[in-house]
Amino acid sequence: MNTRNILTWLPKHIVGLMGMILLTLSCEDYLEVDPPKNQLTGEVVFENAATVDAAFAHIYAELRENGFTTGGTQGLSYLMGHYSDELELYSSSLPAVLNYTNNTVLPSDNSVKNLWDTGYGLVYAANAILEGVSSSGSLTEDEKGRLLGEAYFIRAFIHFHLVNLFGEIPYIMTTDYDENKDVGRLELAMVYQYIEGDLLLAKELLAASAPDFERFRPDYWTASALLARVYLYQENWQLAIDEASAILGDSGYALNPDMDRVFLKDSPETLWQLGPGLPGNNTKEAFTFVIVNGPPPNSALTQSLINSFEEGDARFEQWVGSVTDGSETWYFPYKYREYVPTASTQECSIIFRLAEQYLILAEANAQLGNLGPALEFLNTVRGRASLPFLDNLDQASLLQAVQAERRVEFFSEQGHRFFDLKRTGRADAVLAPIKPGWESSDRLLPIPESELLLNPNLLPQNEGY
Amino acid sequence: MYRVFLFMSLYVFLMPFFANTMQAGTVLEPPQVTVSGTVTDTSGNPLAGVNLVVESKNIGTISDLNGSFSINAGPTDVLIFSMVGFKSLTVPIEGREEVIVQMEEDVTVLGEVVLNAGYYTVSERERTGSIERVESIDIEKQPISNPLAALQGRVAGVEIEQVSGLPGSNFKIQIRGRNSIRSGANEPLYIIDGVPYASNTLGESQASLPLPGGGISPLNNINPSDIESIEILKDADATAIYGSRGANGVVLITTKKGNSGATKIEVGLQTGLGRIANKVDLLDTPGYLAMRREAFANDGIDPIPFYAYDVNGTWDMDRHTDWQRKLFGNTSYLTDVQGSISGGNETTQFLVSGNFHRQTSVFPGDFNNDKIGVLSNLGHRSANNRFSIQLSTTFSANKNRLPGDGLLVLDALNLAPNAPELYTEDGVLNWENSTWSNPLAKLQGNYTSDGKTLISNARLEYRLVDGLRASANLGYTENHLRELTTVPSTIYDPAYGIGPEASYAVHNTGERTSYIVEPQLHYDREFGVLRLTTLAGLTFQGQTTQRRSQFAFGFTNNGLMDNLSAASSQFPIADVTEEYRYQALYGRVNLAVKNRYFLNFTGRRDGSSRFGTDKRFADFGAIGAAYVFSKEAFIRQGFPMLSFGKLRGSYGTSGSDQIGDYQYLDTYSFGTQQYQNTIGLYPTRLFNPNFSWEENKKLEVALELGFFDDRIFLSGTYYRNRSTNQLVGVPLPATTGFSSVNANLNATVENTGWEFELNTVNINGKNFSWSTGLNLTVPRNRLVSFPDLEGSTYANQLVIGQPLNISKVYRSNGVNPGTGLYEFEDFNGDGIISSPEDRQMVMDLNPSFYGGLTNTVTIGKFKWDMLFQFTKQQGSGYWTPGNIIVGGLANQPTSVLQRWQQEGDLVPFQRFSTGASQEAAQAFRQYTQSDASITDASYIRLKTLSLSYQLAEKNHQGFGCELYLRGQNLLTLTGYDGLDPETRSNQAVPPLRVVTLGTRLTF
Repeated sequence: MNTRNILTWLPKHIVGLMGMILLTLSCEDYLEVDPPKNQLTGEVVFENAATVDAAFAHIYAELRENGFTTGGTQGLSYLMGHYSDELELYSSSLPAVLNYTNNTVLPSDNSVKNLWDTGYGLVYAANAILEGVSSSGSLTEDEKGRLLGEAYFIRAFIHFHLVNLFGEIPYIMTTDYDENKDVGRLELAMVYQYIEGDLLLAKELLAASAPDFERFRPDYWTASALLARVYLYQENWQLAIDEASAILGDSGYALNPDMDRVFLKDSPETLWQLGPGLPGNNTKEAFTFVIVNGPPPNSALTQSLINSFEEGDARFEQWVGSVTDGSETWYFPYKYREYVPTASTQECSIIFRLAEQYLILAEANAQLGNLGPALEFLNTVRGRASLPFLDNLDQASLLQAVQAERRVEFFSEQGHRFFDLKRTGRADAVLAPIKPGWESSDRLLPIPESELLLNPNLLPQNEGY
Repeated sequence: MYRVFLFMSLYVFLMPFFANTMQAGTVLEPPQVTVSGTVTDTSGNPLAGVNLVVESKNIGTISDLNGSFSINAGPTDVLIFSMVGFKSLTVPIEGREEVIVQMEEDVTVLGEVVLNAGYYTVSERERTGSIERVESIDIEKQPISNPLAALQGRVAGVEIEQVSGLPGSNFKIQIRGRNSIRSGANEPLYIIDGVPYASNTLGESQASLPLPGGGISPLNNINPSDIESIEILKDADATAIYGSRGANGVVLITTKKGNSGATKIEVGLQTGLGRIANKVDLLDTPGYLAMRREAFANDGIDPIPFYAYDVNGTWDMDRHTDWQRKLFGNTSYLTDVQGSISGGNETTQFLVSGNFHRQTSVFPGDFNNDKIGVLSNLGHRSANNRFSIQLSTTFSANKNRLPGDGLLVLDALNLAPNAPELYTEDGVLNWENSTWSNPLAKLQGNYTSDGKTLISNARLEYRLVDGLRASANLGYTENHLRELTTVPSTIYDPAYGIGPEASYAVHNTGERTSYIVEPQLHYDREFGVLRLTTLAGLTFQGQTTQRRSQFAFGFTNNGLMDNLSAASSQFPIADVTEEYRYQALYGRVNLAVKNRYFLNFTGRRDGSSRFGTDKRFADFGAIGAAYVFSKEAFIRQGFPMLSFGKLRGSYGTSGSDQIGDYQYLDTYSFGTQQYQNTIGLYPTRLFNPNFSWEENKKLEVALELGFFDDRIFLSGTYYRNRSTNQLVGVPLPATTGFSSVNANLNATVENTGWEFELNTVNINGKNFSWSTGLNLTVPRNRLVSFPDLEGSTYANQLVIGQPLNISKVYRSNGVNPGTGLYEFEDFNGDGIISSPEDRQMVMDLNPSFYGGLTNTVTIGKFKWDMLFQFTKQQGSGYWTPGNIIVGGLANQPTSVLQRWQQEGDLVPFQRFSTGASQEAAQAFRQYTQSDASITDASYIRLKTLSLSYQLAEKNHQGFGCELYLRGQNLLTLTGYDGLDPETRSNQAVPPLRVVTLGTRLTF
């Protein structure tokens, strides 16, 4: 064809074509989209205290629902109850819990990963708050103090549980993933040093702020209570006494004389409890533990725990429930009773309560040889449970009595029993005879396998796994 | 900046034509006359709708119902007649005024098939790129409800796996292997009638649990029988014009259009049955109880403890239940009704069709999938042939009702064969005194999804002057999904004493709307032996996704759970609005010389809102070339049996932005839980604003050969795709607070492979014909480089030189004849088998080859179609998912009877254990993570069998009637040890064996 036409034809049209394209393309801002409506940018969150409180709400809700403090079947109250000698598993459909019962927890178990992952996830959230609040230009100094104090407390609180479950662990103090992705494990003493540092800082920052009357948020006294527990675990007896005495003396909290009201929401004994998700909700503990008809669908208390209650112990009357099918009777933790929502919330999961401080005082004094005061603190707790006072005990028997008391006071609460057995060096002696799967190395859970695969600096795995 | 790029590229493309044509002048046209005539087939029947053009002029027409035509042409002009299914005919007018033409049916395999390449069309013979086409005739033969199912085994280089046998579930598709280390970023781009279609689900993860593989597939909303063709674009030449979204290939779906001619009514009815094709051979009650007793004895536990209800006498030890039959062994019923009306004249054609499809599930209870669809297509061309418009609209509604829990299959495999009755004598769920959790309790909860999809498209075209056309492609899609998951209190054991106040429901509504505007200019012209085809266009695409989910609980009655207002409390768990904007400039220049040499340039500049401000734009481009050497005289003389020969190749780039919206922002999201009446705000992700596009460089070389008039047609293709700048969620240890962060990794992934296709017409008689098609793909996936892999978080997932899809596992050394426990290779020799040090065995989980074999036999009025699909691969076996230990409270395949019993036993399975023995539990867990649990998952499957009989033909009887019998997944040959080698899962319902009977009537 007439190829010659092209010279006249093409330039004319190409110019028009290009003009059109260039005209249309000049709007580069076409790609500017609105920010997502369901998300806030980091800067906005730290502009005012209400949104930072919402960031804390996430942490507390996680602790209530998924973290190791949850009353559900993923939490320490339940898992470590089986791992030690408090709970007997009846369900055939909870193979993960069976591994705790048998002390055959494996590094690949999801429950282990969950404890670890949610723990460090919350540490990140706390660090993000620490960094965001510190650099915020619009929060007042008072607000900053309260928010930072709470965040330091959370960081310490979570690491404290992690170190007791997993042994040597990394202590995470930044949100920088480049740094956190290949951290190594710290010696126990180092971890405790950081925990103590964070708690002292938290106390200092929280000292000025008013306590939360519902005790849904950790405050100065909560930080002090954890510090007392940390000193006790480290066998730093005098410091433990100092912290606990201050709480008894100045906090204004008191033991609840009504044994059936200790776990109610307004109990004067509570230092910190996890508030409900929705008005009228009660605790996950009640949902997990309370048995309506036998045989138990999940778990029941072990006979050995039942046997450890002295005759006439009010705690057995008030805090242990029972159910029977006519021939057999099963017992269950009945500290929390409302397993379905009520008109208004009756019970919340208590994380710290004053009775612990009495028993810390008893134990630490006994360790230092102050047997008189020790006995007095112990008898206060016994007296409340309608038990006769003890007298004339030597140091060893007194220490033993304190441990016995802790067992029946804190059963099915936050894994106290297991941690007590561990820190007092009695785990092998107590558990080996009654649990065929128990080995000395079971004092620690395994580091999750997925974690070791991603970060070889965490090697070696805990002994025995 | 990119204006300069644009200018430069067009300049470079076009400059050569200016240079060679520096002379001006005009040629006088001879006088025009009207030429008329008729077109018939070889038996003399008039052919309507034959396309007729005057060569080298833009004049054309279509023959009418009587096969007549008339056209203005010069006496020396040449007429070209063409029609799908017939050989094109070139007839010089030679001064005649009447031309009678007989067209011969095209029996060759290749024909003059015109392929849809998205922005343009190209003939099969002249294409430079890798484009595969599956036509309606093959899609219709299969009783399927998802168009992707139709591609399985039919297309080389495309690997498709059904994720589950549940109606409505997803398919996994990979075109030429996995390019991205990011596992969720290997989806191709779907385009339906020119409109991009988002294939990710709108489901709420908390509500779509029962469907494995990412919930309800939106593609399930496309009715397979409305599809005219599916084209798959694979290489750079075909995909570069899709730029940032073409890296994983493009799937183009074209719906049916009306044809000119008498109005045609088609009605199709189909009904059938489906069942699972395979069950795992599990232990019977005596065998099972013996295993349990032996396990307790091995663990030294005596007496049998109170919680071992199955073997301590609590449960009846004489019961036996085949739980697989009970829990997912029901018959699925399938009904399908189609109807369509089509017709039109030379200028206007229409097609309207409707369909109804219903399929019930294999679970006990009332679960089903209902689909209704409507398609309307309208095409119009102005009388002067300057303007044309094509409108198409599809609407479909898809309702799926499934059990609220996806674990029924796993339950069926694991339940003890002597587990209690499902119902008590009173007909209520039996909980056997709280000693088991009744699997049917899960059916108390339901999952319902209700999806609606609208896809509308308009394509306008106007011929400005000879050779120059302006067109616009306009599209709008709407996708709605409503989901409801109910978890009534009755799923719990009544021993918990829980009433409806603890029941909860998740309500989810999602909608996605998107539009696309694509103005384009096309310029086609011939300069002597050179034919030039060009295209330049722009794309503006916007997409808005909104989703809202509510968690509702505290009901007074379980019957009211689908009503939000009956809940005493409710709170939102998701309220998401996402916007996505996309902008592009693209062009194509195609040069054909003597219909023998072809060169194809394509390019695209893309901008996407998914990246941070500095990383938004990127350029992609490709060059393709083809040489039809069979047109050379020396070939024609030297190799007369060679009817077609073409060598082609291409090289270019495309990209991928499949990362999700807003990922570059540092944000906090609202959680689902409250505290002190405040909704928690959590950090959404670790943020990195600097990630950018993943780039894929594709190279391809192919040879196509046709022998004996193309009765034997063979093609072989080699491809090599390299993906760099990997955009991944880099996995992180939990100490960072997150499991991953988005970043570009300087790693290279390579996919190479060979694709072979062989199509033969074995016999081609009047009453008997037989043709065969075979496709075979030999893919290879390899991680080429990964700087500092050892020090990265991928160290235990990837190995350089190995495929991405591998598993690093322990190496099993079998069962120690002394201890009766599994033993593994201690790679680091420290005396302890531990992870990751001893997980050094690399198992390749990619197929080593796959393909399909089709056979079509026509004997008189019978037609017989068969498709075999085959894959050679290794995959997760029965124990890989980490089942309950062999000897624990779970049934096991009969193969475990070959277990260790006494010293000296040389057997494949270790001694039974209840899990109470730490060593046995550990060894079993390691076994599940060893090469021994990964098994051969190769299979050959008779995917489709279709037998049809033409009872009446429209041409003779005035109406047509075809009867057919079709089967899907009829036969599977495999050595796989689990339920199904394709799903390789203990949780998914295996693909069903479906047989249907149907008829198609044409009036």
